[in-house]
Amino acid sequence: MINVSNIEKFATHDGPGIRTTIFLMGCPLHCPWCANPETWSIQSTLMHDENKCVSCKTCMHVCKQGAISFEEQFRWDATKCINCQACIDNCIPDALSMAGKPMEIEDVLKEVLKDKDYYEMSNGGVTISGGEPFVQYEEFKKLVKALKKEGLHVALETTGNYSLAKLKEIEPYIDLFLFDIKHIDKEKLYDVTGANLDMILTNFEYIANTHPEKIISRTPVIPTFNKDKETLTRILSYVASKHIKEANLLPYHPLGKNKWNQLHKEYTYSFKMMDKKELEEYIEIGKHLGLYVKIGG
Amino acid sequence: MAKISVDGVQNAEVSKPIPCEKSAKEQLEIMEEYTRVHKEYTGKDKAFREINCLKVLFPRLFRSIEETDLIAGRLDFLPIGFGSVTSIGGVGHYCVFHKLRAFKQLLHTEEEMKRVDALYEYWTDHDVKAIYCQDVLNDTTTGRFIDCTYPYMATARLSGMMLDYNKLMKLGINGIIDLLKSKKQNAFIQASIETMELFKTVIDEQVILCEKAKENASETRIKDLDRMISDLKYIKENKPSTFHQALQLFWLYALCAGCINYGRMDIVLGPYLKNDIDKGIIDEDEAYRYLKSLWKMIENRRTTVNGRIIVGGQGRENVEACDLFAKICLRVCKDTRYVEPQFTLRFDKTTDPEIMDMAYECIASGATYPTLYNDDVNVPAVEYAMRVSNEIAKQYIPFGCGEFVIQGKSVGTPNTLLNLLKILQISMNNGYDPMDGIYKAGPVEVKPLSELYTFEDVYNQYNKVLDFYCDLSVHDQAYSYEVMNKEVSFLFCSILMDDCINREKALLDGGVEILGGTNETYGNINTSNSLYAIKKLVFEDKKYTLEELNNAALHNFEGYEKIQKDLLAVPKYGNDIEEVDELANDCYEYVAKAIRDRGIEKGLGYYLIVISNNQTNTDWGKQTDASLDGRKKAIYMNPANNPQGGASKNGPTACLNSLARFKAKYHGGSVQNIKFTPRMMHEDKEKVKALWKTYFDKGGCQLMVTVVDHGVLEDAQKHPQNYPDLIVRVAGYSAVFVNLTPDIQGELLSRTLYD
Repeated sequence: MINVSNIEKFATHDGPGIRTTIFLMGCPLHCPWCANPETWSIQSTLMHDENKCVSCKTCMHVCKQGAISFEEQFRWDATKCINCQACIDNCIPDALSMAGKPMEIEDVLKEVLKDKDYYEMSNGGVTISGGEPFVQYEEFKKLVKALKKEGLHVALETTGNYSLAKLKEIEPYIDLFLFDIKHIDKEKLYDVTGANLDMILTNFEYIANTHPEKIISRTPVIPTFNKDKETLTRILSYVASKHIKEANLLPYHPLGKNKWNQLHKEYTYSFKMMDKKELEEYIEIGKHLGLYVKIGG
Repeated sequence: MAKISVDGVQNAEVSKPIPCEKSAKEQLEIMEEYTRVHKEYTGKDKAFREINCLKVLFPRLFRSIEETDLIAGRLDFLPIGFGSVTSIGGVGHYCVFHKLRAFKQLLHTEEEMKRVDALYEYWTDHDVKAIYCQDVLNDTTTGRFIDCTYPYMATARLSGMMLDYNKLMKLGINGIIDLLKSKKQNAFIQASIETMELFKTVIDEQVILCEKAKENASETRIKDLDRMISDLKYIKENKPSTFHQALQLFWLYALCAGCINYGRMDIVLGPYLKNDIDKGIIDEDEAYRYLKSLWKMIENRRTTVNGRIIVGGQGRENVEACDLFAKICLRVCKDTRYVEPQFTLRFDKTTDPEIMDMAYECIASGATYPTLYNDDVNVPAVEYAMRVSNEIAKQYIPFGCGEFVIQGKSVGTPNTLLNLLKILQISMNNGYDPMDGIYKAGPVEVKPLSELYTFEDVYNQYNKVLDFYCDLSVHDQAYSYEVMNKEVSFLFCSILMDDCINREKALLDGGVEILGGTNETYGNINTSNSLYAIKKLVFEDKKYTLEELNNAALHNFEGYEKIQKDLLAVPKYGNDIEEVDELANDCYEYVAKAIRDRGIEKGLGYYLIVISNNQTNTDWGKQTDASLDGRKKAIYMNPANNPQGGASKNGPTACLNSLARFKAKYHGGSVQNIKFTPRMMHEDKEKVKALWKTYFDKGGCQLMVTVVDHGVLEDAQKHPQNYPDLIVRVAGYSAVFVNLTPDIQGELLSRTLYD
């Protein structure tokens, strides 16, 4: 079984054409701006919407495992939860939901294939995202093999934060890497996100050396983290130096904030939604570097 | 039985009509004169009665030419008069009772008001629709259109007449008169000749009105008016030879015939346009001006759910000329942003990509037009559905809210409407409608829930009640023709419909080649989703009994919130889920075939369901009890065959996959709404195009698109003054959003917006 956070049809921001994006659970990073924080854990995670909750405690009463408590506020104990969904089924105001649904690979495939005609018409396909798909490595490998067997175009949205050996196994099944370069400063990257830049660049360069056309680099542009001209220019210069043709700068948005609340986590990177225009100068900078810079995915 | 009252709203009217130009006093005089003539001809042939009544109206009811008009012809209608459809008056010799009552308020003296009362009294027994309703409506099963307390409504009207204007162009007025004179001179033929003579007096009147408009007009305006005058004089005696003449002739005839859907104008007008341009008589900019004027005049008729102009598609001889016309129309449509005409593009794989691209841009601009009809699917579907040749099927056209007819060859008016959800509820409550506690199952033996042991039992019982209503439906449709035929000949329409002249018979007297009809169905998806929820929760999961679910619905889920939650959680149509969509399709095919087969048996050319929609899903929803798809009492039902608002959660591909599942060959028109943001339409243009193209390749028959941004509709509800031209597609019609009632606005908001 592979733990799937979401399957999004008609995804238009995750690669060419009409695509279906499969979001997998589990991520080695913990970026404080993350739009999908419910995918960090590889385990399914209960989300609780305080705005909808009426504190009726029905969830606590129906939970036979004692995984839910209401001392000062709602608490969920992941170690006790057996994912029986009783709390969710009995929550009348719909305040509870479970992120993560274990699925058979064949069921994922069946869902994805429903839109095959649309992929063919638009030169689209499937994108695997997360979280970081490599966290569920074995199942992920089975999934990409199954997708390729169906002749689908497969894109991967990835942090690059895993061993080269694993990448080497997966790389032949991936047509396009949407490869995150979030920062070019090793310490800053590690401090804020927990990512290992050396590992990331090793992986990046492994693909770039043989198939630079398979990479689009992606940089989420985050105020206080990397939204300064020096950092962004350094990132773009690095990417260009590896003969990559396209880089995407993704303007910061706070749309994931609600999910942080539902996980009872503090969202510390709360800024104003960024305007695309703020990044337009990098299109020109990219041109000088021989790089097509696109604002947005 | 007590006398049935037909006094009440009789059609969807979002666009507010322009008031009559005549004084109230004069209007009263005209209505009295009409009534006098109608009385005088009691017992005489209906054709003579009709033509003499028409002479009271024409040319008198034509109004002044307006400043921007480049063709002549603006026509008022009164609460009493002659017509085909309810959007502009009524059917045959009609009286719109609630409008007559309102008219009374315009009068000043007791004496005048009494005269109105006398008219009201006379017409209660003579209004064609009232005569029909008296025989058909009853207190339990059959309501008048629009009275939503019944599961079924029936009416008499002659909607969607789209005439063979080519015949008029090819023969000219005198040619038609000659043709009529060559036939056996029965009452119909004689009255038809008089009709064409009357048409000439209408043209004469336009000349006078144009002359009047010249007073104090500017020099350039006088030039336009002079051309109008000379062309009017020309077409009175000759076949049209230019684009402007053809346009003028068509327009006046459509007005006189009471037609509010126009049809394949590219076929009629395209060749004249091309000829004029080739010869340098006009250029494209001039043609654009004329068409813009036509657009405005159609808008000014304010018929809300009509005004169809159709271009493109199979079965056109001079494709180049037609496409030239279509392209100019697309420009006009994009620039004018009117809710009418309902501009419609038929297309197939061979359609000029430039036209497809222009259509896309027009839609992306937020015009909601053109609505798109896929000929690769619809032509073979119509061929089967209507049992006509491929050649005839190629002349199909949607009218009004999307019902198909064959231009110049068929009558296809939707005179019956079924609320499937109400019928399901009646079948589950011993024949009683839970909304009002009235028994509405006729002679059908309805078993209590305790005697329904399997899902098939539930489904069969619903279908049994539905069968009873289908029997009523086919009878009432055929009977509407009988009643209308007894009273009127529809002379103007008959003259341009195959094969009335050759058969020497009026339209409904055996004249029309294909006497078809349509039955609107509502609540299609609420019904199938409710049945699926029963199947799943009662018979598969055994989580609840039938009684428990029904009881929760009877309580509007108050105190039964858990059951409602479980019902809502059951998978819904519109998400590309095999089992759910399959049941929806089964429900669809059942009612579609039930109606179609009964039509064939009854001897109708065709009788088909249409899953169209105006706003009846909302109006009827208000009078429909809570349902087992989790919908609460009095909430709107699903629009056409689209998902219930908010139920489609799996993106547009999944939704379109569900929509494409219904085989088009069993219905006579079905409409699909979809909403996108401007961002998506512009930035993801190629993806959206690929989305539509795939849907059409998979069997999608139709698509109509609203383009609107996040939050805009919500803001427009709060600040309507800021959104005077925000156009949305309701279903079978487009409307300025802020003109809609709050409940219909709510239904539109509930639909998924794709970004």
